[in-house]
Amino acid sequence: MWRLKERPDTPPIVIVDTIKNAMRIVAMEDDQRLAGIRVEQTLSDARAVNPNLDCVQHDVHADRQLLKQIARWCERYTPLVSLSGDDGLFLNITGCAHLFGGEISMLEDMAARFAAQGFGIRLAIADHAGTAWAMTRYSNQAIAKPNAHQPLLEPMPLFALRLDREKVRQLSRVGFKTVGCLINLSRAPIAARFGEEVLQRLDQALGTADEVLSPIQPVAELVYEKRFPDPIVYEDDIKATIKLLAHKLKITLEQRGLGMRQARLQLFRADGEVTQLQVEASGPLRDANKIAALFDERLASLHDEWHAGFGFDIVQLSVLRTDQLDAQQEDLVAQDQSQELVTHLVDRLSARLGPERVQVYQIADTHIPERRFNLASAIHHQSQTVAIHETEITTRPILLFERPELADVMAEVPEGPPLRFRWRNAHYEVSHSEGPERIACEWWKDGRAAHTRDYFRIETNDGYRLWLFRHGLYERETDTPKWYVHGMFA
Amino acid sequence: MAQHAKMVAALRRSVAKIDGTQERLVAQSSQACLKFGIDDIDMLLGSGLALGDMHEVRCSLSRDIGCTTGFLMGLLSGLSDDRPIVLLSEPSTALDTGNFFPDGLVHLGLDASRLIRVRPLHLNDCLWAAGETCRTGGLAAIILHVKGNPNLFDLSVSRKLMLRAQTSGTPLFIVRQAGEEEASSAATRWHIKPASSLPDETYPKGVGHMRLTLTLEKNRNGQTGQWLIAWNPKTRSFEHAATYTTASTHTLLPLHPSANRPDSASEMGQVVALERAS
Repeated sequence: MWRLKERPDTPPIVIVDTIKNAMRIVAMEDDQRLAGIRVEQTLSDARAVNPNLDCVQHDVHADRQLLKQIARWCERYTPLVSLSGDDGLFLNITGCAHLFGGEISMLEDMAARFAAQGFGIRLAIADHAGTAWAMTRYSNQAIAKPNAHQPLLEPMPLFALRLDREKVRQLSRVGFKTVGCLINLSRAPIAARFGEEVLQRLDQALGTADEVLSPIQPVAELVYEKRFPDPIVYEDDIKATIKLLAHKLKITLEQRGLGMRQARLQLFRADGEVTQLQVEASGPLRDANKIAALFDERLASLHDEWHAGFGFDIVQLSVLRTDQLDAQQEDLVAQDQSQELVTHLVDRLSARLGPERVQVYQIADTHIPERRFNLASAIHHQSQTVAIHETEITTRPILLFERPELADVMAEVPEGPPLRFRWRNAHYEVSHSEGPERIACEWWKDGRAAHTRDYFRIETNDGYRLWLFRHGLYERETDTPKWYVHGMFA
Repeated sequence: MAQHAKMVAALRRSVAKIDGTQERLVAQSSQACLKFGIDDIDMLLGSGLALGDMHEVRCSLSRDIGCTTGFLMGLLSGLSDDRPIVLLSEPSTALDTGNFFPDGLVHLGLDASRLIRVRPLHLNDCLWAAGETCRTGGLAAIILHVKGNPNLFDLSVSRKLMLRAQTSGTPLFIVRQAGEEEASSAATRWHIKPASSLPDETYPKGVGHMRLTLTLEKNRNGQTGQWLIAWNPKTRSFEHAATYTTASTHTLLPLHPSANRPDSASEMGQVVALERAS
């Protein structure tokens, strides 16, 4: 839960939204609760209490974005951060607390950093997510003793079990007011009367049932980080840090016989922003300089999109995906490295321009020209050679347009070859033509109603060799077949 | 023909001795070359198209691009090298050029699986990528496809690219679609104009093979010329089409004969000295 600190010089802020056909209060500043304003009160009632209110429309999307941003920032504490509802975060700090000097000092560090950013938060550490959730809302204790959660939960209201309002109402009508009331009851009647959910939430709070938390980002295989007491600002410092981390990474990768395929760099800004860069390699990579070069390209491509602000205090390099890479012996005799050079070039170009902009051809076994090949990102796919039909070699153009271009064609007879046409605002006279080559649609993809194409190779008076097609068979499929120019011959 | 070639070679040697370009010619002939297979052209270029250098192929109209890429691909199929070819294209070329079609490339003797296609979002990125690619070895050729004469791609950029291509020994081909001739650092500049094909002997009514008017507009070490050439799919090489001329069409405007009198006013709007870009 977070709230901005009150500002004494301005009217109090309330967040309003339309709920049940009225403008109602969703959230407000802390001191307004004392003044008699409460959540779900209509705005007109609230105005009666305090006419001097500054109303802000509730923006669910912006709230969500902010929560996600905070979640990413929390990855400085643990890689396992997940969202909890609209207003909370779960951090799985198993095995992380000692890095911050124990649980107490970790909580203090968190509280201090959030306070410095202007957020009011409540923190709790417990063995289970459900218990921690309840403690942040209904207890003043910050750290629960291991294996002693039951006495802590017993006096809490039923809302502490993360049950919805309707369930709590049903339970309180039969006299259950606190969590403690439910713990010692026999389970079957509760499940029958109030649903499985009540028991499940109870078990999760007590820690007898597991709760799966899904982290906001995939968990890295290896993480290296460098923390700076004084935030770094300059690009050169960041690049040097990346190189340093890459060298550390190389040692581990060598020991494990692995190579990096995908890596992520997170730059934690002192004021809570997190810049994230991701790079990929087309083959397993271990060389520190090459890994650093990929990040350099990525940084260069983001040139204007990231700002150092007050500086970065943590630089974190995580390896998301690895592949087997056996140790290689350096060869004294110079060997042909051209393959390796090209691979590294593809990686660097992909890092700078984006993987989808560096492509290789993939050929599919079909006669439909535009489905014949596919341009796939070079970093993820290998180009492949496919045998090509002899007849298709001589009758296929060298360039195929992204989309067939409509042409205004005059033919002698509707099913005959074109005589003259207009295309791209120019007029052409056909001097030679070959065709038609009939290419039927793929009915299993396009449906039976799709038109057949009659392709013609034509040459114009001034020497342009083009590939035209008539879309649809005259009279059988359509009465006014359209013509398209689909490609160019050499 | 052969005798003629010998005579020209001998003459050229003696000229080279006189003006001291002997070293350059020797250096060039020792370099790897790409042969056209047409004696006239190969001879004009020394021994062929120098591989470790930058060359430009341009066409005047946007729709000539089919023939232009066909010419370049046909030329590249002569490389005895099956390493990848990087094709960089500027974003504005995508609209009216489309993509290489694998089957059509096979007709010209090239395998599409060798192509690495790079399509940056901005011309700036495209030139950066070209620079990086030129610096890298391990490639058979690099093609940079630009449209028109963009300001960003100026003489200093082209000189940088040329130097990098020379250092790495990878040939760089600039394909300039619908571009004017412009001063650049390219070793040669070719202009392509499609020509009507001769009917195929097996199917006289049909469309024949690629045929084009090839103009060598700029040649760093020598003459220019113009030819009508055609693609021969059987030998997978270019050959002379039926008629050809070696006389350059680029004769400069006739100069006024000098006489013992002031020069007459020349025609308006003509600058003789800056006539051709090189």
